[in-house]
Amino acid sequence: MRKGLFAFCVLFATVFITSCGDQMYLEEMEPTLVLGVDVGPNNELILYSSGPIFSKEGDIKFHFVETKAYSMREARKLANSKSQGFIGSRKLQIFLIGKKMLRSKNVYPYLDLFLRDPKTNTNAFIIAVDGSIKDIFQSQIIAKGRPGVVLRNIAKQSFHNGSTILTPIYEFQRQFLDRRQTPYISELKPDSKQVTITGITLLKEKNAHYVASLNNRESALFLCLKNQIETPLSLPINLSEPKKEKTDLVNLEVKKAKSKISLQRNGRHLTLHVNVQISADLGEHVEIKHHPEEGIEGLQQRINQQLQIDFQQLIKKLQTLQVDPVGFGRYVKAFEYPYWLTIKDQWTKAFSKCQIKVKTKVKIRGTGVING
Amino acid sequence: MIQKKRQLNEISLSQFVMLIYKTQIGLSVLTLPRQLVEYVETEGIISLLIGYMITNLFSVFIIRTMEKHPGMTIFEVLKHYLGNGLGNLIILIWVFRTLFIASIVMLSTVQITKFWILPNTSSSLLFALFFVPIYMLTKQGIQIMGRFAQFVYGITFWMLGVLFLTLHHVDWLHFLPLIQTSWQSIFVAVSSTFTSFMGFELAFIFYPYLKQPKKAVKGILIANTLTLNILMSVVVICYLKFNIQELKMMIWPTLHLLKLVQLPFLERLEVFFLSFYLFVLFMTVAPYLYTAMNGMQSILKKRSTNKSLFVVFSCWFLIIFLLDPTIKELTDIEKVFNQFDLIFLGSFIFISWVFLGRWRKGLNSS
Repeated sequence: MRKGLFAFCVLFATVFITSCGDQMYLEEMEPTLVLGVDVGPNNELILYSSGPIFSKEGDIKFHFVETKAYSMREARKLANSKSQGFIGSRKLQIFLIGKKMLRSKNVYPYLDLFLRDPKTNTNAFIIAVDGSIKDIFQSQIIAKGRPGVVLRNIAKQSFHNGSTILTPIYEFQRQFLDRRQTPYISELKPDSKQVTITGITLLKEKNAHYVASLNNRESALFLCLKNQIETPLSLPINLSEPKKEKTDLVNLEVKKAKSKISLQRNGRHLTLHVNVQISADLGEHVEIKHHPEEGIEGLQQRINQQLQIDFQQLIKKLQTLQVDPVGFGRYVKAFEYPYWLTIKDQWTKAFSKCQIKVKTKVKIRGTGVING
Repeated sequence: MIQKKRQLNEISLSQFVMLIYKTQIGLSVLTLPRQLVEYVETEGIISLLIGYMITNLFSVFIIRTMEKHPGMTIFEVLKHYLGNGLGNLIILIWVFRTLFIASIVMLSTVQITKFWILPNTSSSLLFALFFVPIYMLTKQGIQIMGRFAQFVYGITFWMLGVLFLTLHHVDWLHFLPLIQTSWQSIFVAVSSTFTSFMGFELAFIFYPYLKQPKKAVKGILIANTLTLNILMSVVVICYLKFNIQELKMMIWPTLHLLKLVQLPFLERLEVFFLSFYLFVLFMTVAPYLYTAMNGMQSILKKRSTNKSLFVVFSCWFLIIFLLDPTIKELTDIEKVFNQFDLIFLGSFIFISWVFLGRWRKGLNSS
C-alpha cells in the first residue's frame, strides 16, 4: 500500500511537474544573427539588428531594425518593440562596431550585455566596419542569403585565406583585460555593391580606441607571428626591385609557420629576437624574365630576404603605433618578470623602444607540377 | 544485527572508490578556478598539488584509525570510547556539518539549474524534481549509492573530454613565471583546494562496508587521484583560456569554458553538460545526507530514518519556498562555514588517528 502510494507520487511528479516555464516557439522568436552598434550625430548609440524571419506570409527573409538608445539593453528593448517577436541574442553570429564608435567610445563596457547573460553566444565574431553599417544591409549580399549567415561565411573564409583574424566576443574581453597585449578585431568595408574584409583593426589597450588597420598582406604576416594560421595560408610576396621595372611576384601556400620569440635584456634595454620558420609550396610565380639558372635555392633566398624586410616593417609599424597585438609582452612577463613588474602599466611604451631582430627561414617544399 | 545488515550492504573496492570520488567532485569543479584567483594567479596549480598531498595524508590517517576497529563506523567507535554524552555531542557536530554541506550543495544545485538552464521556472518546482532521486538514494543505503556512483561514472566520464575541445590556439606562457605572487598566498589558497577534496572523510562511514578492507588505503588514494585529475584539468584549462582578471569576474568559470565549445550539431553545450552534471551533484548530496541520517540514527537509537529524512526535506522545501537563497548568499555562508569546518575536520582526523589509530592496539587484539 505504502509502496504503491510512493510509486504514485513519483509517477505524478515526473509526469506532471515538468518545467514548461521556459518554452520558446520558433515562430514567436526573431533570433538576432547580426547586431551592429555605432554612434549617431548627437553621440547617442545606434543599434542595428538583423535576423531571419520564419513567417510564411511575409515576403522578406530577414528583418532589419535600427534603434537609438543609451545602452545596448535599452536599444534591444526598443528594437523589440519594433519587431514581431522576441529579439534574443542567443544565436548571435556577428557583432559589428562602426568605426565612428571605435574612434569616440570605449566598446568594452557595452559588451557587458553579452558577457552577463548566460544565454548569449559569446562565440560571435566582432568586426569593425569602415563605413556605414546600414550599407551592409543594402548591398547586394542580401541576394546571397541572410546577412548573418553570409557575413559569418565571408569572415570565416577570409580567416582561412589569411587576410584577417577572427576575434570572438570572449576573446576580445580577454585581449582587452590582458596587459601583455592590445586588442585587435577584423575589419570590413561595405560599399554599394558588396562587403570586403579588408584586414585587421588594431585597438588601443586602455580604451579600445581605433589606432590603425593592417591590410590583407600585413594580416597574413601577422597570423604567422601569432602562430595562428589555418593551412594553407596564401602569402603574397613582391620580389620586384623598385628601380628596375620588372614584375616578379611570388605567392606562397604556407603549410607550416612557426614563430619563436626570445628576448635578451641589458639593463632597461630589451632586444626581442623573432625567428619565423615557414615551410611552403610555391603557389604562383609571375616573372617577366625567367631565370631558370637561379634554381629553387636562389629563389628561396630572395624570398627569405624579402620576408625578413616585410616582417621587420610590420613590427616597426606596430612599434611606432605603440600597440602590441602580437603579445610580445607575454614573453617579457614570462621570462623577465622583475623587469615586467616595473613596466607593466606602460608596456606598449616600453615596446616601442625595444630593439627587434627578425630572422626568417623559408623552405620551399614543392613547386607544383612544373619546375622552378 | 548491525553486522548482518552490513553484510547485506557490502560494497566492492570499485564501488568504494567511486563513492568517495563522486562525493568529492561537486560544486568545486565549477568554481575552483575562480576561488583560486582570489588568492593567487596561475600558481594555483601548486596549491592544488599541496591540497592533494594533505588530503592523501589525512585519508591514510582515516583508514589507519578505522583499521583498528573493523566492522564499526566512526559513530559507533565514538560511542564505544566516549559514551553517550560526549560521543553524542561529537556525532551531533558531524550530523550538523554533513547536513550543512548537503544543504549547501542541494540549494546551490537548484539555483545553478535555475540560472543556467531554466531561468523562468520556480525554484520549488525544480526542488520537487530533484527530491525524488536524492530521497531514493539516501533511503536505500550504501550499496545502492555505490552502484549509482558507478553508474554516474559511466555516464559522465566523457565530460572531461569535452573540456579539452576548447584547447586550440592556447598559450602556455600564462604559467610563467611559476611564482607570481608569493608562497604565503599559495598556502592560503590551499584552504580552498583542500575543501574541493572534501568527501574523502566519508571513508569514516564507508569503511566497514568494504568487502576487502585491506585495500581501503589503495581505494581512497585512487579516489583522491581521480579527483585531482578532474580538478587539475579544469584549473589548467581555465588558466589557459581565460586571464586572471576575467576569472575573477566569473562565478562558474568551468561553465563559461563550455560556452566556448562549438559543435556543429549542438549549441549551448553548457546546458547539456549541466544536465548531466546534476547526477554528479546528486551523488554529492546523497552520501552527505546519508551520513547525517546515520548519525541521527545512532543518537536517537532508531532503526528507521524516514522521519528524519522527512524533516530534512521539508526544511529544504521551506527554505527554498520562503527564502529562495541566492547564489551569493549561499557562497558567503559556505565560506564562513568552511573555515570552521576545516579546523574541525583537520583536528578531528588528527586526534582520532593519534588516540585511536596509533596508540590503540585495536579492539580485537586488546
